[in-house]
Amino acid sequence: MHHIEIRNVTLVYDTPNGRVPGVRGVSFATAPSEFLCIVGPSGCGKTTLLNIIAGFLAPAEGEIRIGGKAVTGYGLDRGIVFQDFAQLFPWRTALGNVAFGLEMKGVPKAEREAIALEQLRLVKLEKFAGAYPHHLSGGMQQRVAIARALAYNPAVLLMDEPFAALDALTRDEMQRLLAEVWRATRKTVVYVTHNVAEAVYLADRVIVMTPHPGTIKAEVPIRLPRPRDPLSVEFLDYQKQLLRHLTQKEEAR
Amino acid sequence: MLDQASPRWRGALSVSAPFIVVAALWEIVARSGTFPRRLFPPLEDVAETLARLTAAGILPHHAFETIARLLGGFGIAALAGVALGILMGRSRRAEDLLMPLVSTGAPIPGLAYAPLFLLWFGLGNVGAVILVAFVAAFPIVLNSWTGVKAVKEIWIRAAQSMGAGDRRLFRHVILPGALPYILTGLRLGLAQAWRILVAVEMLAAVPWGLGWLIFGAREFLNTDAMLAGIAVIGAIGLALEKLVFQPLERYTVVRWGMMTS
Ligand SMILES: Nc1ncnc2c1ncn2[C@@H]1O[C@H](COP(=O)(O)OP(=O)(O)OP(=O)(O)O)[C@@H](O)[C@H]1O
Ligand SMILES: [Mg+2]
Repeated sequence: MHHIEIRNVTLVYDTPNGRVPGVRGVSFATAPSEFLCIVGPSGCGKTTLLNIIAGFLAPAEGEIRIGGKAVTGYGLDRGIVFQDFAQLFPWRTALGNVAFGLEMKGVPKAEREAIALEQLRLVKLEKFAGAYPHHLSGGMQQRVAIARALAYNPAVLLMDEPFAALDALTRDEMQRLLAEVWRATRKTVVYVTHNVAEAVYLADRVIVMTPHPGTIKAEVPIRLPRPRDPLSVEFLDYQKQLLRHLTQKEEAR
Repeated sequence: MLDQASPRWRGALSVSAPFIVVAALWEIVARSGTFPRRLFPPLEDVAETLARLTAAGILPHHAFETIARLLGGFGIAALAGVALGILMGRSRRAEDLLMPLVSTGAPIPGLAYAPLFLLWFGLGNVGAVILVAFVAAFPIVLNSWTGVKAVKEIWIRAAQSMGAGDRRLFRHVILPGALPYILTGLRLGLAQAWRILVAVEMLAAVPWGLGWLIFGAREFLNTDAMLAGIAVIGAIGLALEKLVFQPLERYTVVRWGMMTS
């Protein structure tokens, strides 16, 4: 059974300088609780694709189904984590940010704060529940954003390069934490990145996109036991394989 | 203990130092006999007048009337201005319709409207308050509009993806997101309100008020009363800034890191 199904999705941006393709004829599907990574060169359409799945952009062609239901807009079945640290609401504490979705759902205050605190504990930030975002580091802000996207219990987690702007050390830590959170919550995750090591570390399966206008070039299942060792030979082999796909010129054109 | 207290003292001193210098220069000129005492009174005369007028209840009455008009006019401007600015920021049609009017009206000096408003609404409180409201609304509208435009798209998307409908999006995202600009607009609006109010009180549209006190005092060369009136205007402005705007900012946008103090 599929959880997310993307069928032949195409999107074209209308700009003052004419029509710019965003993504072209993309199809893939995920199983429930699968961790799917999408890698591709800058500008190939990864963010566009994620925004289509999130429901912020309507594709010109093709369709998206989640749990069999066609996606027509944004909805509480999907949690979203953006690349930009500024995604948190500066006027809310970490706890207030995480509780936002539950508040919109009408969950009573005491209950939503208990759930939010639980989510903050999951990302190891319960001590910072009362802190405002500007007092948190970039990595901490992204962890709050993950907790926020999980708090209202969506079935799907969509993540757009959430750790790309972090330093390498923090990023490694974040990846470990995310792998743990995923194991604990069993969400279906679609994770966009252009870092192949990150993809191999996190994913059950990696989809490689071509340069702009993006289509799918290859699908690589990662058959490694978890937790994964980034220094193992197999890990490096997968990395090489993905890099080869990314750098290879497209033959048939 | 002394060490902890001394920075505060130094702070207070550095704030008051320019005033002390100006006061000292004033005293020197006033006492040198260059100008007649009636036109250039020493500070002790001003202080004495200030005390006398206060004790007689005259100055408080003037001040009270002025503050009441200020708060009335500014209050209307704040409510209408923020509402209009946000509407223009959110609705393309409202923006297209109103922006040309607002941006044309904004640079026109408020005083230019005064005779018209006094003819339309009569001499007195109604005309004065409406004029104050009208003139003060411009910076509030413009800044609220800018504030809405400055609300980050990513906040809106995040909120929408978490199920916020239009009304809650407005209350929980647009309003707090635009607040730094809205507060700036209110501060500018209040400054505008002050200027136009004191001026319109001088046009004798009203029987009481600090503007009228200052203007009326010229007939009898009461420069000490004029200076006392100016001092009270300055004190009220300072009090509003220190007791209203700064605490409001410290409690909101500064605490949220959206504005540095
Ligand atoms: N709002 C927009 N209007 C017009 N064109 C756009 C818009 N957003 C993206 N594009 C174009 O669509 C293409 C795909 O952009 P997208 O942001 O999806 O790429 P990306 O893979 O996420 O890149 P990156 O790795 O740099 O984030 C790019 O060529 C870009 O120029
Ligand atoms: Mg992107």
